[in-house]
Amino acid sequence: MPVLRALVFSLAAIITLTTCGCWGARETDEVAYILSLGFDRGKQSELLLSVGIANPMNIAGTGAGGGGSGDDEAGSTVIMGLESNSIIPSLNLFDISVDRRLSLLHTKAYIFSEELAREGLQKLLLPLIRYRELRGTSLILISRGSAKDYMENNKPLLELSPTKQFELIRALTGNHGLYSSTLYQHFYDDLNSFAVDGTAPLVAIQESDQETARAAAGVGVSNLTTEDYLAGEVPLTGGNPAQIIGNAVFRGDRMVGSIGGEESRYLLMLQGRFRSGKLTVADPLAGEPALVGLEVRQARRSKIKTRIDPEGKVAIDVDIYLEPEIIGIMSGINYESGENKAVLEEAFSLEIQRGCQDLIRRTQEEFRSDIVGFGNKAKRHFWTTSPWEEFRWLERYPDAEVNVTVHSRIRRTGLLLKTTPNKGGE
Amino acid sequence: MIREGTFGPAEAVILLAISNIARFFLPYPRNLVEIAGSAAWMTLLGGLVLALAGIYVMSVILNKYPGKTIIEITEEVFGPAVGMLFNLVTVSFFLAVGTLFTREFSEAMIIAALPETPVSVISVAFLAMGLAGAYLGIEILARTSRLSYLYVLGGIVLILLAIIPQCNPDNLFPLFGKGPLPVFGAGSLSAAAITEVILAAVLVQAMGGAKQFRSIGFRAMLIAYGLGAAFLATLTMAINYHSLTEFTLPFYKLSRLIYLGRFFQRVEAVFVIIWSVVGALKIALTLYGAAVSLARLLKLPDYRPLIWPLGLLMFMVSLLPPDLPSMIRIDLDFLRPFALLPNYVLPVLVLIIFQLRRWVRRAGP
Repeated sequence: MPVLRALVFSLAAIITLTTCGCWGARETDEVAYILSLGFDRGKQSELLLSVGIANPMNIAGTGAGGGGSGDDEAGSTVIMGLESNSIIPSLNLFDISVDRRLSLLHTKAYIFSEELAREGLQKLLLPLIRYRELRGTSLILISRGSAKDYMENNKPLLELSPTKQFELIRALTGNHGLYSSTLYQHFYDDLNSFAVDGTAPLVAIQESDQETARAAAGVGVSNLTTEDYLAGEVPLTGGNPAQIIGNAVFRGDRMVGSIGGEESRYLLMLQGRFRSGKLTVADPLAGEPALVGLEVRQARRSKIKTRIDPEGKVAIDVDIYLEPEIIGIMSGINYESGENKAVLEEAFSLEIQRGCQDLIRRTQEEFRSDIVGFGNKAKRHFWTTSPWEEFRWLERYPDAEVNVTVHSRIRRTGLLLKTTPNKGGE
Repeated sequence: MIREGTFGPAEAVILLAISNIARFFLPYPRNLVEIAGSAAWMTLLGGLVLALAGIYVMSVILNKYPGKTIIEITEEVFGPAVGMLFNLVTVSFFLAVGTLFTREFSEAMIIAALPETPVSVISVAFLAMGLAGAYLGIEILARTSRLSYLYVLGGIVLILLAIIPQCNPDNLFPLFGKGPLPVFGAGSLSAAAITEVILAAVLVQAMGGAKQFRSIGFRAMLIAYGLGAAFLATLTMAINYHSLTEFTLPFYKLSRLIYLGRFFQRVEAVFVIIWSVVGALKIALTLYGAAVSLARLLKLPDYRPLIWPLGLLMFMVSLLPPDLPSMIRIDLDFLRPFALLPNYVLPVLVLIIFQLRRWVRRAGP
């Protein structure tokens, strides 16, 4: 059957050639990969769209740091802006200046200005999630100030690859918990949910230096760390001026407020997503103000129990389990001993409890937004979706009674097993 | 006498299971979520019960006529005219499934991987694989399934495991979703609308005869529905049901969410390969089912001359719907209800007529 064989061979050849992707093939050096996409309110149009395009010439090894701008100082990212009323179709307009086809396949972050976030993000998120190049695993960031400014001034000095910064941002919160990272898909889900409201990390360019910075709160007033900072407020010197700390709080698709880095830790602890972080607590036994440094881990996921009474009032009990490890005692008190350890555990638990209660109070009274996701537990009381949706949890949340109990157990005391006060400086 | 070849129970189980899970790669799961909400996975439990009942009824019929397939049995029970009519329903059902799957797999491939390739080219590619598979015969298809099942089923399990970090079990609540009636009524009926009961009854002699039928069918359905329920539960846990109803290709969406550190992401390429294998197998199977059923109906000695015209018919009809949403509507509004006819209604009718005749014969002079 030579004819049949020839036919089969020809067919196989045609299939191989037409369906291996060559039809729409595009070499990597024909594509410009957008690594971050920024959204601001435009002056002439509805939107100012900013794209951070990977500059392969500099990523390849010769570039000094990320960031970049449209001027002659070409970093590993080229930032371009365009006023427009739409998102995806505007990408074609960038092509008239960039000689490559723009692609969102490697976009790691979508950055929205606070101004836009306060007006509502639904109309911006919807066209993007439909677009086949968008990945649900990209980060959502809210910029205090202009997203374009943030993109232009963001210069991660330690990274050659600008995408790595965003990858690390996603994971780094596990080391300190100073923001709760949010993926596009999860943020979009939260906007659609009847059980939870959304949050997204705050980013900003540093606005203060050590001269103009807000003073840190006195020891023993805010017991866990210094003042609770938002992005842009941390008085660092040197390095990358771009900061990420704190979270924007949403009700529906609109941003209604923000919480600082410390409150973001409480948020993560309440959600059971806090992994570890270095915190301080006011020394409970020292005569004069002093701090005890602790490295804290969440021992296990927080337990959230909800009760709904016949009138529809909801009571929520949250149990948080933490394992602090002593990393520094300024007063020299021997907290390694059994009695003192219990005192320190108690003091620490109370401080975390107070912080969590304060955050919950803010979310109920100020934001009226369930960013913790208590609704996810409340809906277990309902067998079907109709009564749950009619219950209108998000409207009831501000009236819910929430009790937080923190259980702390100091498991380890670092490299020292006993603290002996030294003789002082006299 | 049509020569079909033979294969063992293991091949048969895998063949039917892979054929069954093909629908989960398409927009179909979002329909189950639309019907049942957060309890979409439960529709498959109801669907499984119906499918097992279908297999049981079919096995009872096949055991009464050893050595025959459902095509000959239908003709014998209903007589040549009505029997032919019912058998034409079966043939059209296989053609309809093949046609719709060809177009849906092609459209899905465009959305996911080949956005600039014309739909006709992808359809031709799928159909070419289908034609080759059907031409080579069911034995080859069964052995191919057996060889590829580790990659197909293993790949699916791997994707489901890799998505666990993104899962939130709270999304499975409220437990009964849109209510027990939609879940176990419309949802389970839709989930039970499969090809495999009638397909297995057409292939029964190649699978080792009526005695093996029930055990093969039960095992295949347990694997396929078990995997389907796990998939839908994972899907609902990873993406809340409100968002899920919006997505065209939920499984593809799920595979794009996999992120296990900086180095293990973008694994949807694996998914697309599994998808293509399953799509090609499903199209080949339905084309084979249509050709062999028609050949038995027309008392032809060989089914192979029918493959080309039937394949061409599938290709042409698959291009008739103007767009993907229309295609999905046809799938939901036409194919799913239609599937209940040859898989459940026809066997029950055959059984009723058979019993009636027996009673009449016994009551007779």
